[in-house]
Amino acid sequence: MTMKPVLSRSPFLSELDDLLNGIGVKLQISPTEHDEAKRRYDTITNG
Amino acid sequence: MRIGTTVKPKGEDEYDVDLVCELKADPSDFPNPIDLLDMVEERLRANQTYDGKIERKNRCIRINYANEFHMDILPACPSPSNFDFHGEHCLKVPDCTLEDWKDSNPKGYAKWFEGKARDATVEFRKSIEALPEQQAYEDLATLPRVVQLMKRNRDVILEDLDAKDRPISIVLTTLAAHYYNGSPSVIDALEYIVFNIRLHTVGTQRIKVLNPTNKEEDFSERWANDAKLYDTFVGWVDNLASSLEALRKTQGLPEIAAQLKVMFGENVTNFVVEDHLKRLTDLRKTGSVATTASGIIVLTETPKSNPIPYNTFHGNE
Repeated sequence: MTMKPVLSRSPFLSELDDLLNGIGVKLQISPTEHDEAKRRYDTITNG
Repeated sequence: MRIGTTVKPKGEDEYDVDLVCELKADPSDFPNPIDLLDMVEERLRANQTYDGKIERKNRCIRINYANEFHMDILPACPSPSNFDFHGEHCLKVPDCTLEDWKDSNPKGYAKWFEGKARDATVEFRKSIEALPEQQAYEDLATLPRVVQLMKRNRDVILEDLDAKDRPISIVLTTLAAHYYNGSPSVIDALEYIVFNIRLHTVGTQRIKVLNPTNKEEDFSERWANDAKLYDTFVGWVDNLASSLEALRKTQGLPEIAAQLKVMFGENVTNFVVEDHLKRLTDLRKTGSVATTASGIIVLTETPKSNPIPYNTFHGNE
Protein backbone atom coordinates (compact mmCIF):
# COMPACT_ATOMS: atom_id res chain seq x y z
CA MET A 1 0.00 0.00 0.00
CA THR A 2 1.38 3.41 -0.85
CA MET A 3 0.97 6.29 1.53
CA LYS A 4 0.70 9.90 0.45
CA PRO A 5 3.40 11.96 2.16
CA VAL A 6 2.03 14.52 4.57
CA LEU A 7 3.64 17.83 3.79
CA SER A 8 4.24 20.00 6.81
CA ARG A 9 4.21 23.69 6.18
CA SER A 10 6.17 26.22 8.16
CA PRO A 11 3.74 28.57 9.95
CA PHE A 12 5.89 31.50 8.81
CA LEU A 13 5.42 30.53 5.15
CA SER A 14 1.70 29.97 5.65
CA GLU A 15 1.41 33.43 7.12
CA LEU A 16 3.36 34.91 4.20
CA ASP A 17 1.05 33.08 1.82
CA ASP A 18 -1.96 34.55 3.61
CA LEU A 19 -0.55 38.05 3.32
CA LEU A 20 0.48 37.68 -0.33
CA ASN A 21 -2.95 36.30 -1.19
CA GLY A 22 -4.45 39.27 0.63
CA ILE A 23 -2.43 41.58 -1.58
CA GLY A 24 -3.59 39.60 -4.62
CA VAL A 25 -7.22 40.16 -3.70
CA LYS A 26 -6.60 43.90 -3.51
CA LEU A 27 -4.96 43.85 -6.95
CA GLN A 28 -8.02 42.35 -8.64
CA ILE A 29 -10.00 44.52 -11.04
CA SER A 30 -13.30 45.32 -9.32
CA PRO A 31 -16.46 43.56 -10.61
CA THR A 32 -17.81 46.97 -11.70
CA GLU A 33 -14.71 47.70 -13.77
CA HIS A 34 -14.83 44.23 -15.28
CA ASP A 35 -18.54 44.53 -16.15
CA GLU A 36 -17.86 47.84 -17.86
CA ALA A 37 -15.03 46.33 -19.90
CA LYS A 38 -17.28 43.41 -20.83
CA ARG A 39 -20.07 45.75 -21.92
CA ARG A 40 -17.68 47.69 -24.18
CA TYR A 41 -16.20 44.49 -25.53
CA ASP A 42 -19.65 43.06 -26.33
CA THR A 43 -20.62 46.30 -28.07
CA ILE A 44 -17.59 46.10 -30.35
CA THR A 45 -17.79 42.39 -31.06
CA ASN A 46 -21.53 42.49 -31.76
CA GLY A 47 -21.53 45.76 -33.63
CA MET B 1 -7.63 39.06 -19.24
CA ARG B 2 -8.41 35.51 -20.36
CA ILE B 3 -5.46 34.08 -18.40
CA GLY B 4 -6.47 35.82 -15.16
CA THR B 5 -3.34 37.90 -14.61
CA THR B 6 -4.86 41.38 -15.01
CA VAL B 7 -4.11 43.67 -12.09
CA LYS B 8 -5.60 46.94 -11.00
CA PRO B 9 -3.21 49.57 -12.42
CA LYS B 10 -1.12 51.61 -10.03
CA GLY B 11 -1.60 55.38 -9.93
CA GLU B 12 -2.75 56.89 -13.20
CA ASP B 13 -1.94 53.88 -15.37
CA GLU B 14 -4.94 52.36 -17.16
CA TYR B 15 -5.53 48.68 -17.66
CA ASP B 16 -6.01 47.35 -21.14
CA VAL B 17 -8.18 44.73 -22.78
CA ASP B 18 -6.72 43.06 -25.86
CA LEU B 19 -9.07 41.94 -28.58
CA VAL B 20 -7.89 39.90 -31.56
CA CYS B 21 -9.88 40.55 -34.72
CA GLU B 22 -9.07 37.47 -36.78
CA LEU B 23 -10.07 37.75 -40.41
CA LYS B 24 -10.60 34.64 -42.47
CA ALA B 25 -8.25 35.88 -45.15
CA ASP B 26 -4.87 34.91 -46.49
CA PRO B 27 -2.05 37.37 -45.62
CA SER B 28 -1.14 37.34 -49.32
CA ASP B 29 -4.49 39.04 -50.00
CA PHE B 30 -2.85 42.13 -48.47
CA PRO B 31 0.33 42.97 -50.41
CA ASN B 32 0.70 45.86 -47.99
CA PRO B 33 -0.06 44.50 -44.47
CA ILE B 34 -0.88 48.02 -43.22
CA ASP B 35 -4.00 47.93 -45.43
CA LEU B 36 -5.50 45.52 -42.92
CA LEU B 37 -5.01 47.98 -40.05
CA ASP B 38 -6.41 50.78 -42.25
CA MET B 39 -9.49 48.68 -43.01
CA VAL B 40 -10.27 47.95 -39.38
CA GLU B 41 -9.60 51.55 -38.36
CA GLU B 42 -11.85 52.88 -41.12
CA ARG B 43 -14.64 50.53 -40.04
CA LEU B 44 -14.37 51.70 -36.43
CA ARG B 45 -14.23 55.38 -37.39
CA ALA B 46 -17.44 54.94 -39.35
CA ASN B 47 -19.17 54.32 -36.02
CA GLN B 48 -19.75 57.55 -34.08
CA THR B 49 -19.51 55.70 -30.78
CA TYR B 50 -15.75 55.50 -31.25
CA ASP B 51 -15.24 58.94 -32.72
CA GLY B 52 -12.46 60.76 -30.86
CA LYS B 53 -11.46 57.64 -29.00
CA ILE B 54 -9.37 55.96 -31.69
CA GLU B 55 -5.60 55.93 -31.69
CA ARG B 56 -3.38 54.07 -34.17
CA LYS B 57 -0.63 52.02 -32.56
CA ASN B 58 2.13 50.02 -34.18
CA ARG B 59 0.19 46.75 -34.41
CA CYS B 60 -3.29 47.61 -33.25
CA ILE B 61 -6.08 50.15 -33.12
CA ARG B 62 -6.57 51.48 -29.62
CA ILE B 63 -9.93 52.69 -28.31
CA ASN B 64 -9.40 54.95 -25.32
CA TYR B 65 -12.17 55.02 -22.76
CA ALA B 66 -10.95 58.03 -20.81
CA ASN B 67 -10.10 57.38 -17.17
CA GLU B 68 -11.31 53.79 -17.43
CA PHE B 69 -9.24 51.51 -19.64
CA HIS B 70 -8.22 51.12 -23.25
CA MET B 71 -9.04 48.35 -25.66
CA ASP B 72 -6.41 47.25 -28.18
CA ILE B 73 -7.87 45.71 -31.31
CA LEU B 74 -5.29 43.61 -33.08
CA PRO B 75 -6.24 42.71 -36.66
CA ALA B 76 -4.79 39.39 -37.77
CA CYS B 77 -4.88 36.74 -40.48
CA PRO B 78 -4.25 33.03 -39.95
CA SER B 79 -0.78 31.99 -41.05
CA PRO B 80 -1.28 29.51 -43.90
CA SER B 81 1.76 27.39 -43.04
CA ASN B 82 2.50 27.87 -39.34
CA PHE B 83 0.63 25.64 -36.86
CA ASP B 84 1.21 25.42 -33.13
CA PHE B 85 1.40 22.23 -31.07
CA HIS B 86 -2.35 22.41 -30.44
CA GLY B 87 -2.73 22.00 -34.21
CA GLU B 88 -4.15 25.49 -34.60
CA HIS B 89 -3.13 28.21 -37.01
CA CYS B 90 -0.64 30.77 -35.74
CA LEU B 91 -1.42 34.33 -36.75
CA LYS B 92 0.19 37.04 -38.84
CA VAL B 93 -0.32 40.60 -37.62
CA PRO B 94 0.59 43.80 -39.50
CA ASP B 95 3.44 45.87 -38.05
CA CYS B 96 3.53 49.55 -39.08
CA THR B 97 7.20 50.14 -38.25
CA LEU B 98 8.40 47.13 -40.18
CA GLU B 99 5.74 47.54 -42.86
CA ASP B 100 5.52 43.78 -42.79
CA TRP B 101 3.78 40.90 -41.05
CA LYS B 102 4.80 39.73 -37.59
CA ASP B 103 4.08 36.31 -36.12
CA SER B 104 1.78 35.81 -33.19
CA ASN B 105 -0.48 33.24 -31.51
CA PRO B 106 -2.54 34.70 -28.66
CA LYS B 107 -5.09 31.88 -28.39
CA GLY B 108 -2.41 29.20 -28.42
CA TYR B 109 -0.48 31.19 -25.81
CA ALA B 110 -3.53 31.39 -23.53
CA LYS B 111 -4.00 27.61 -23.80
CA TRP B 112 -0.32 27.04 -23.02
CA PHE B 113 -0.51 29.32 -19.96
CA GLU B 114 -3.69 27.65 -18.71
CA GLY B 115 -2.01 24.27 -19.01
CA LYS B 116 0.96 25.52 -16.96
CA ALA B 117 -1.27 27.14 -14.37
CA ARG B 118 -3.51 24.16 -13.73
CA ASP B 119 -2.61 22.70 -10.39
CA ALA B 120 -4.15 20.04 -8.21
CA THR B 121 -6.85 22.22 -6.78
CA VAL B 122 -8.11 24.54 -9.48
CA GLU B 123 -9.58 23.91 -12.91
CA PHE B 124 -10.20 26.73 -15.34
CA ARG B 125 -13.43 27.38 -17.13
CA LYS B 126 -12.93 27.67 -20.84
CA SER B 127 -14.27 30.56 -22.82
CA ILE B 128 -12.61 31.57 -26.02
CA GLU B 129 -14.71 34.01 -28.00
CA ALA B 130 -16.47 36.02 -25.29
CA LEU B 131 -14.61 38.18 -22.81
CA PRO B 132 -14.28 35.76 -19.89
CA GLU B 133 -16.23 36.39 -16.73
CA GLN B 134 -14.02 37.70 -13.97
CA GLN B 135 -12.64 34.90 -11.87
CA ALA B 136 -13.06 35.24 -8.15
CA TYR B 137 -9.64 35.41 -6.53
CA GLU B 138 -10.23 32.15 -4.67
CA ASP B 139 -10.80 30.39 -8.02
CA LEU B 140 -7.56 31.70 -9.43
CA ALA B 141 -4.72 29.17 -9.69
CA THR B 142 -1.38 29.89 -8.04
CA LEU B 143 0.45 30.83 -11.25
CA PRO B 144 -1.78 33.79 -12.22
CA ARG B 145 -1.61 34.97 -8.60
CA VAL B 146 2.19 34.95 -8.78
CA VAL B 147 2.13 36.79 -12.13
CA GLN B 148 -0.13 39.46 -10.60
CA LEU B 149 2.36 39.97 -7.75
CA MET B 150 5.31 40.18 -10.16
CA LYS B 151 3.51 42.77 -12.27
CA ARG B 152 2.61 44.80 -9.21
CA ASN B 153 6.18 44.66 -7.90
CA ARG B 154 7.46 45.81 -11.31
CA ASP B 155 5.09 48.79 -11.27
CA VAL B 156 6.08 49.74 -7.72
CA ILE B 157 9.85 49.33 -8.13
CA LEU B 158 9.97 50.93 -11.58
CA GLU B 159 7.36 53.56 -10.85
CA ASP B 160 9.63 56.38 -12.02
CA LEU B 161 9.96 54.89 -15.50
CA ASP B 162 7.41 55.26 -18.27
CA ALA B 163 5.26 52.13 -18.52
CA LYS B 164 6.76 51.48 -21.96
CA ASP B 165 10.27 51.27 -20.48
CA ARG B 166 9.33 48.65 -17.88
CA PRO B 167 9.60 44.93 -18.63
CA ILE B 168 6.42 44.03 -20.52
CA SER B 169 3.78 41.81 -18.94
CA ILE B 170 3.92 39.09 -21.61
CA VAL B 171 7.63 38.57 -20.88
CA LEU B 172 7.03 38.27 -17.12
CA THR B 173 4.04 35.99 -17.69
CA THR B 174 5.95 33.69 -20.04
CA LEU B 175 8.97 33.42 -17.74
CA ALA B 176 6.75 32.77 -14.71
CA ALA B 177 4.84 30.02 -16.52
CA HIS B 178 8.06 28.52 -17.90
CA TYR B 179 9.68 28.20 -14.48
CA TYR B 180 6.56 27.48 -12.41
CA ASN B 181 7.18 24.40 -10.26
CA GLY B 182 3.52 23.50 -9.74
CA SER B 183 3.52 24.53 -6.08
CA PRO B 184 0.13 25.56 -4.67
CA SER B 185 1.93 28.06 -2.40
CA VAL B 186 2.30 31.60 -3.73
CA ILE B 187 5.51 32.31 -1.81
CA ASP B 188 7.13 29.00 -2.82
CA ALA B 189 6.19 29.46 -6.47
CA LEU B 190 7.29 33.12 -6.53
CA GLU B 191 10.67 32.35 -4.95
CA TYR B 192 11.27 29.41 -7.30
CA ILE B 193 10.37 31.42 -10.40
CA VAL B 194 12.47 34.46 -9.45
CA PHE B 195 15.42 32.27 -8.46
CA ASN B 196 15.37 30.60 -11.86
CA ILE B 197 14.94 33.79 -13.86
CA ARG B 198 17.88 35.26 -11.98
CA LEU B 199 19.97 32.17 -12.64
CA HIS B 200 19.57 32.81 -16.35
CA THR B 201 20.18 36.55 -16.25
CA VAL B 202 23.43 36.68 -14.27
CA GLY B 203 25.62 36.04 -17.33
CA THR B 204 26.62 38.57 -19.91
CA GLN B 205 24.44 37.00 -22.59
CA ARG B 206 20.96 38.38 -23.03
CA ILE B 207 18.08 35.95 -22.65
CA LYS B 208 15.44 35.76 -25.36
CA VAL B 209 11.80 35.10 -24.47
CA LEU B 210 9.96 33.45 -27.35
CA ASN B 211 6.27 32.69 -27.63
CA PRO B 212 6.23 29.00 -26.60
CA THR B 213 3.41 28.35 -29.08
CA ASN B 214 5.00 30.22 -31.98
CA LYS B 215 8.78 30.39 -31.89
CA GLU B 216 8.71 32.96 -34.68
CA GLU B 217 7.40 35.53 -32.17
CA ASP B 218 10.06 37.05 -29.92
CA PHE B 219 8.33 38.70 -26.96
CA SER B 220 11.64 40.25 -25.92
CA GLU B 221 12.52 41.74 -29.31
CA ARG B 222 12.71 45.28 -27.94
CA TRP B 223 15.71 44.24 -25.81
CA ALA B 224 17.63 43.58 -29.04
CA ASN B 225 17.26 47.22 -30.05
CA ASP B 226 17.69 48.85 -26.65
CA ALA B 227 20.21 47.40 -24.17
CA LYS B 228 18.95 49.77 -21.45
CA LEU B 229 15.58 48.01 -21.42
CA TYR B 230 17.28 44.68 -20.80
CA ASP B 231 19.42 46.21 -18.02
CA THR B 232 16.22 47.50 -16.42
CA PHE B 233 14.74 44.00 -16.53
CA VAL B 234 17.85 42.40 -15.00
CA GLY B 235 18.01 45.09 -12.30
CA TRP B 236 14.36 44.52 -11.46
CA VAL B 237 14.88 40.73 -11.19
CA ASP B 238 17.88 41.29 -8.88
CA ASN B 239 15.83 43.65 -6.76
CA LEU B 240 12.92 41.20 -6.47
CA ALA B 241 15.27 38.34 -5.57
CA SER B 242 16.89 40.47 -2.82
CA SER B 243 13.48 41.56 -1.54
CA LEU B 244 12.31 37.95 -1.28
CA GLU B 245 15.50 37.06 0.58
CA ALA B 246 14.91 39.97 2.97
CA LEU B 247 11.29 38.85 3.43
CA ARG B 248 12.53 35.42 4.51
CA LYS B 249 14.72 37.01 7.17
CA THR B 250 11.98 39.14 8.71
CA GLN B 251 10.67 38.38 12.17
CA GLY B 252 7.22 39.35 13.33
CA LEU B 253 4.37 41.05 11.51
CA PRO B 254 5.70 44.66 11.69
CA GLU B 255 8.90 43.62 9.90
CA ILE B 256 7.01 41.54 7.35
CA ALA B 257 4.64 44.45 6.72
CA ALA B 258 7.54 46.89 6.24
CA GLN B 259 9.11 44.61 3.64
CA LEU B 260 5.78 44.03 1.84
CA LYS B 261 5.29 47.80 1.63
CA VAL B 262 8.61 48.13 -0.16
CA MET B 263 7.64 45.35 -2.56
CA PHE B 264 3.97 46.04 -3.26
CA GLY B 265 3.22 49.54 -2.06
CA GLU B 266 2.08 51.12 1.17
CA ASN B 267 -1.69 51.38 0.76
CA VAL B 268 -2.37 47.86 -0.37
CA THR B 269 -0.11 46.44 2.37
CA ASN B 270 -1.77 48.52 5.08
CA PHE B 271 -5.20 47.18 4.07
CA VAL B 272 -3.98 43.61 4.03
CA VAL B 273 -2.11 43.76 7.33
CA GLU B 274 -5.13 45.40 8.98
CA ASP B 275 -7.39 42.62 7.66
CA HIS B 276 -4.88 40.04 8.81
CA LEU B 277 -4.71 41.45 12.33
CA LYS B 278 -8.48 41.68 12.51
CA ARG B 279 -8.83 38.02 11.55
CA LEU B 280 -6.23 37.04 14.15
CA THR B 281 -8.04 39.06 16.80
CA ASP B 282 -11.29 37.31 15.90
CA LEU B 283 -9.59 33.92 16.08
CA ARG B 284 -8.01 34.85 19.39
CA LYS B 285 -11.45 35.75 20.76
CA THR B 286 -12.61 32.23 19.96
CA GLY B 287 -9.45 30.78 21.52
CA SER B 288 -8.24 29.21 18.26
CA VAL B 289 -4.93 31.04 17.93
CA ALA B 290 -1.73 30.38 19.78
CA THR B 291 1.95 31.24 19.62
CA THR B 292 4.73 28.74 19.08
CA ALA B 293 8.09 29.03 20.77
CA SER B 294 9.33 31.16 17.84
CA GLY B 295 6.55 33.65 18.44
CA ILE B 296 4.77 32.97 15.16
CA ILE B 297 1.01 33.00 15.22
CA VAL B 298 -0.50 29.63 14.32
CA LEU B 299 -3.71 27.68 14.76
CA THR B 300 -3.93 25.80 18.06
CA GLU B 301 -3.76 22.35 16.44
CA THR B 302 0.06 22.82 16.35
CA PRO B 303 1.58 20.77 19.19
CA LYS B 304 3.49 22.49 22.00
CA SER B 305 1.84 25.85 21.50
CA ASN B 306 0.65 28.14 24.26
CA PRO B 307 -2.82 29.59 23.72
CA ILE B 308 -2.95 33.39 23.79
CA PRO B 309 -5.67 34.60 26.15
CA TYR B 310 -8.04 37.10 24.62
CA ASN B 311 -7.17 40.56 25.95
CA THR B 312 -10.35 42.38 26.89
CA PHE B 313 -8.39 45.54 27.72
CA HIS B 314 -10.45 45.71 30.92
CA GLY B 315 -7.57 45.46 33.41
CA ASN B 316 -7.39 42.50 35.81
CA GLU B 317 -10.68 40.90 35.00
